[in-house]
Amino acid sequence: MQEGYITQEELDARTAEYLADGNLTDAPLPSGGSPKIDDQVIKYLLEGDSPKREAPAGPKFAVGAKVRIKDVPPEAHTRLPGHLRGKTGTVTEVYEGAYAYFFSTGPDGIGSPMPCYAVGFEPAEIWGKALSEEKSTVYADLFEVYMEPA
Amino acid sequence: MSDKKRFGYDTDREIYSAAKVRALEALLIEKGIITDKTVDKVLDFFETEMGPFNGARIVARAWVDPDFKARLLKDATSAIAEMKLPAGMAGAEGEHIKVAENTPTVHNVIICTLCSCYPWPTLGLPPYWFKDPTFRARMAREPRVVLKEFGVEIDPSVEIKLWDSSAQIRWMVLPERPAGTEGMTEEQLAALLTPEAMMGVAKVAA
Repeated sequence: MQEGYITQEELDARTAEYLADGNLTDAPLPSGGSPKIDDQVIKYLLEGDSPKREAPAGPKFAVGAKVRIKDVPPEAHTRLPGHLRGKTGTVTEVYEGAYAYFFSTGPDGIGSPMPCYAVGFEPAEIWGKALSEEKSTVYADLFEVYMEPA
Repeated sequence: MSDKKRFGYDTDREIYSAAKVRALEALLIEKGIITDKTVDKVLDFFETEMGPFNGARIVARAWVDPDFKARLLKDATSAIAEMKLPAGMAGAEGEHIKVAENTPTVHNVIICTLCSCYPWPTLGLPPYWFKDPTFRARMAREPRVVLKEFGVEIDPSVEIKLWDSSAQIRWMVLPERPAGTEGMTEEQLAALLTPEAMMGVAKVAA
């Protein structure tokens, strides 16, 4: 809808028609379309679309580094879980190369290639001791822009 | 209190969703964005080419071949490419895969707290509950309680590691090989596996 392919009004109207019809299993669909579209869809499934790139700069953090997670302005497509904002964790893996995101998230900060990390968090750091379970670790894969030295 | 009042949804939401999905498909076909065969072709692809049957073969291989297992844990994408699996193992949502190994002292669980990231080529499309906001929130905070609801009791001495797929790696679990399977072939072992076991919400039964 945001891209202008369809409108909310026509989707609502068509949904109402199918609902009024009752028998959804046998409800007819339109026919036709270019086979090239299906070829393109299957090509994507087979080949994927790797976001991995050459690292423009070396990683800022090493395994074992203590990092604090930033609280960047929230955007719809952020890859920073809310419960990790402001929390401190430890880098457990530095992924090779750099990773792009499929578009820029603006002030959230991802889009252009940057290093990614696995960061481990103690549950008590995230939820507080009273709400945490013993003997567990939360690992999150995080883009470098979300991290700062603790 | 009725569920409708408590959660604020319509009790006929399933039929409404089905009608909406059908309406969406009809409109996209009419406008030439997809064809009348696209949805069936994608579904067929996930029934025959990309799915948990691939993950099962990978796990079974790792159980019988320690060298393969070592390569799988170090660089899963390359190790998976060694196997004679359908084309596309490094395709959509499988470009960069990591495998977490269960041991007698560690139990791994994969989640995606932000959406539904999942390794499509090796596990297929995620089940609907994997995307459920309540499941995502609760598994992140109280994994032992949620696993118990799945019927999996984790001993207090075992560490739980939760892997949140919040960037570009897609995770799967290498479950423990059950006792009593020593004489089984790779094919027989693969038949024991379920998607749930490879997500960490089930154990493998012999």
